Amino acid sequence: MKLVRCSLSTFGFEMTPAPAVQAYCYINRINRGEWVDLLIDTGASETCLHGIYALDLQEYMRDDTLEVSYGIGGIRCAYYHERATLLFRDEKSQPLSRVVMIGIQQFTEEDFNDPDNLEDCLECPSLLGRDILSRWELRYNHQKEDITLRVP
Amino acid sequence: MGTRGVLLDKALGSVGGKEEFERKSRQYSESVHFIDAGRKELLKEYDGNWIAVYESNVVAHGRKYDDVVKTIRQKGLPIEEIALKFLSSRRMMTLF
Repeated sequence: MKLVRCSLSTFGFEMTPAPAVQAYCYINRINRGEWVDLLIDTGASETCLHGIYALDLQEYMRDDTLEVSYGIGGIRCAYYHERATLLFRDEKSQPLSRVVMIGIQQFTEEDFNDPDNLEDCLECPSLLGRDILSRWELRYNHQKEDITLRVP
Repeated sequence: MGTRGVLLDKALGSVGGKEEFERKSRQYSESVHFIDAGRKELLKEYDGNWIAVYESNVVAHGRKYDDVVKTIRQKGLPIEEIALKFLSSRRMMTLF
């Protein structure tokens, strides 16, 4: 069993801290990688990049990979999809990889034409979803700040 | 080597190999934790600002994300390794 140590993070917001983990996200097709701070979200069906992590990828995205998603409160937004390798650091400092079809938030022309709205969109954290969590075990003790991902 | 092994190698190659992966991973996580641990103090100075943290130091800040990115690029820092957060004292309900 391998362990990935996680933490609690506010992601900049004034809110109860949420479980978080950092990973390197590499998209092979476009040969680009970046470090991402992910909110661990058992409510998200897929791992997805939002905000600042999705912004610079827009120019590389393919329209035929777009899918509409529904969020809390019926919010509709669209995501591009790319095969990505996520590298986590386990407790022995070894890389632990998972390959997923990652969702990448679409920014529309309207978003780009409204700078205030775009700024708001950029604040949204990226999510580690059930495509990864369903194969791992999440241990979450908020009081003791003990959050681990256990990988069989 | 299977497809997964090839993809792991490519991802590791992109980050600079195993040792660089470990160094960069630590640096990034520590910079993220720097923001969370120092949030109260950081808010006094940077409320309503984007802050960029590299090697546990604030290397850029500003009200507009684009301005912060420009500063990072001007300083020649590796933007993909920098922890960037918008800090706000505004209480909000977040339903992700």
